[in-house]
Amino acid sequence: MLLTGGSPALFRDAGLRVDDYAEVRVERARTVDLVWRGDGLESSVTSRDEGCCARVIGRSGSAFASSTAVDAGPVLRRAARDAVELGCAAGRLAAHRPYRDDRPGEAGELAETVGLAEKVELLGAYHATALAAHPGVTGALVYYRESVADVELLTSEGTGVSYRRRDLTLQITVYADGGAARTAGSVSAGSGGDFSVVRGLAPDVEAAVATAVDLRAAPVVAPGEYDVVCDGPLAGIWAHETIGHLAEADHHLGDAPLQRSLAPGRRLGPSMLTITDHPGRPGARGFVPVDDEGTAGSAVELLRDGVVTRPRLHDRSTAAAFREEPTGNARALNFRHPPLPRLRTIAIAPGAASEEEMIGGVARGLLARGVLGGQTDRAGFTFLPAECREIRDGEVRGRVRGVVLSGDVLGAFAAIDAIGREQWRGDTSASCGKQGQNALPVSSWAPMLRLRGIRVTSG
Amino acid sequence: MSPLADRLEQVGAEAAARADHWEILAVERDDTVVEVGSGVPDLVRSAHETALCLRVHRHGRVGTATTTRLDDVRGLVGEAVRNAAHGPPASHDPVVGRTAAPKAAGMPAADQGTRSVRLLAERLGALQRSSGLTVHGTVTRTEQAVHRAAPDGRTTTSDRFFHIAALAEGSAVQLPWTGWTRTPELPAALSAWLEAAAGWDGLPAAGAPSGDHDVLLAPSAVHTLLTPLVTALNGTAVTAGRSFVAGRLGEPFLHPSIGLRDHPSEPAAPDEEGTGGLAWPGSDDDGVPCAPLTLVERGVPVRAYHSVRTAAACGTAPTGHGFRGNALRRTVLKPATPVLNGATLSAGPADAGSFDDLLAGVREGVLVESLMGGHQRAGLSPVVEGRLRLGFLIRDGRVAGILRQRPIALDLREVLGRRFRAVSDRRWAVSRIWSGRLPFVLADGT
Repeated sequence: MLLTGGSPALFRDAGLRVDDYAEVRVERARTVDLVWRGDGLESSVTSRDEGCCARVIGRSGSAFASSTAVDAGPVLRRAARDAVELGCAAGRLAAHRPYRDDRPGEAGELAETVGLAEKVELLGAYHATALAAHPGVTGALVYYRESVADVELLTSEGTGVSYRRRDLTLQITVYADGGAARTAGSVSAGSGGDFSVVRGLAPDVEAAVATAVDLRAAPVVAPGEYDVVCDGPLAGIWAHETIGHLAEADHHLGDAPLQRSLAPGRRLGPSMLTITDHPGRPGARGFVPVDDEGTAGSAVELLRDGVVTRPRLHDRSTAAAFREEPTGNARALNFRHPPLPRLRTIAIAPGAASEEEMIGGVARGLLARGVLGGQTDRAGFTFLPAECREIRDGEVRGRVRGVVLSGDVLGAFAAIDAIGREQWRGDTSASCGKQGQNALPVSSWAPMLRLRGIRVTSG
Repeated sequence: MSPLADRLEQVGAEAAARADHWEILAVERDDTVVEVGSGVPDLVRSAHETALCLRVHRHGRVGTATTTRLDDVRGLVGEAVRNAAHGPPASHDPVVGRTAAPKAAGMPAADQGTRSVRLLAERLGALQRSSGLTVHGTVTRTEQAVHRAAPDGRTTTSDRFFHIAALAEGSAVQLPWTGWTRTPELPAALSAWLEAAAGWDGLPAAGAPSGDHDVLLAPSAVHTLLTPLVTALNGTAVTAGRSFVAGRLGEPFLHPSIGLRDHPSEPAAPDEEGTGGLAWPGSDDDGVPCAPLTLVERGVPVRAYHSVRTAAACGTAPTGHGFRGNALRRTVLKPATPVLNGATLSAGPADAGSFDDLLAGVREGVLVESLMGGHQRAGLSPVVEGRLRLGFLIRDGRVAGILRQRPIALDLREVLGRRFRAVSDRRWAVSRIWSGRLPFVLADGT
């Protein structure tokens, strides 16, 4: 299509100036959404979402235009016109290493090969199981989404890349009546299009029911400072929300204090702490071998042995601003958005501690599993674990509810004193949001972490 | 006939041949966005979107498909019909109120096309010079037409407005502000707030008072505080079983002076409060007429708000709140869910005063501008817990310091209940998940 349709003429006819950079991206996406709520299936929707965008960066100005029409010519001409007429500041892009590989292999049981009837039966059974499991259950939500998008990218520099993006998420939340508040248990799964991750989840649904029901009688946690042992999914999202977002290079532009905080060579955490953002592996949500500027993905070691090594994840614009190399982190949610520096797969390297050792070393603390919610503003963070149990004198005890973990983003790394030896590499339905581009697929790999003296409030 | 109108006819005809009932929602929208960085327009974005959603009833079941490819009518109808084969029962999706008369959302004001957005962006950037703060932000000009079609007829509503999102940065404060306007003029409330913030930027860092102290919440923080209740009154939360207030409607919950009402803005209302774009269309995306709705009356939650689907699931009447996206910005790719578009928090005249009066009445307390993470348990619990993002120390009726970040928990039942003292008489627009015109709220020692 775009890549075989005489594309040089596309740029020649757009009225670009000689030294303007321009790119066009065409996307064709199909999405399936299934939602169960109340007493049964609420909606079954398929969406065909196609369109294109163009970006012009030149001396006279920069502009981005998108359209649900897939004819790139008018969109490119609009971007070129806006760049001149609306007269915004000029931009600059760093040279990059274009992606040259063939389309990567696809892994697992591709979601679109499974019929709608089978999906409705399987996922509907989870919903029915949750509703019928206990009289204290007040409701259950099952939200399934799969998408596949074919992307073609062409630049005025001559780069031409096509790639396919897949994503699949399942979120199951079970609610129970806890008096003045509702309690919840959840199951969260995801993949890069592999449907098999949502099979065989009945035991997880039953565990979610048990969590919601048991929390009704659980005591509210007493506010204070606790030693907290986080499981892999929680530790992974914590890394994403803290060092991950801090490393997105657009946040560094004009922010000298942040640049100093993440200066290479600065120690942030213990010597066993190494954190990397990398292109991920096929079949995972955070698999990004090529970004939306056509740059081949490369691993970026953010921290090694607790010390900042490479503190910035780049698109070509931020790379130019810092005179560094693009890292393959320029990602756009879809054709409606320009690419921004975004995370892909963040990974905390495994340590040496066993789960027993980590819990055994806690006199008064919490064992926190999964994530109900989390937010950071680059200075502080708050997290709501999906489930928390009390730890007393090295023993895991009953559930507590209302736990909110909070702290300073940079200060929390120093609180880590043990890292588990098993790195969790699954995917959840948790996605990334930034500047209106919400629900971008990412992966977060992490072992268990133990953090000392984390502030806990209750809600 | 426009190309889209022609397409609606074709989709309707094809759907009529293959389904028992059909409905179409189509959106045409053109956005121009100018981003302002450090007082200077530095990027322009534009987007043109035409998308269509088809919902059919076939053999007692519902199927839905959406597309941006308007040329593939057979493909769209075929997808919807296939989904109906495995879709939810049509009894959950009754056909009601489909013939609601359209009402103009407000006559689009004349402007200078896309150049007007550049003009407004320049005016936003100029605030950097007048306030002394570094000003970033975006100005968006939106032109939108929404078409609904069903066997009993077709309606079209159109609107045009500007959205302003600003962030003012000083050496110590980062102050966000959002609002809407129908003319390329900056709302006066934005300038006034930046002026106040500039005066507070040089204040020293401070800890919160140690004992009982008053709490003055800015509109952004009031939005966070109200979100659990607003979420719990959402028909979606009620049907999901996650609402802490479902089943307790009619029971006293807040101070008897407090009211919460969702209603369209007055067409003649001036834009200076930044609420000029908070208008409703004549009907929601289910075709149910939009009308004012009282959610909390004299401190008592009295009604949930519903789409057609959630109302049917609860055995009650829809309230005209079913939107794909929200009333200002439709997204056909999203499902129609209940959305509050113009909720106003108010109190009796005896409990209202100017912001200056509220501030002057605080001997020792805190002004909470914004919270981080406070919405995470929304709907599940009336307690908001998070982290103070920006707050100020108040001493002897004056803002005296910038609070250090710290965890904070606010119980809706306390702040708007037994500790409630007053609201400000001016309200600002705040929009995150739901939109409202919200005042400052003052609560006694907490």
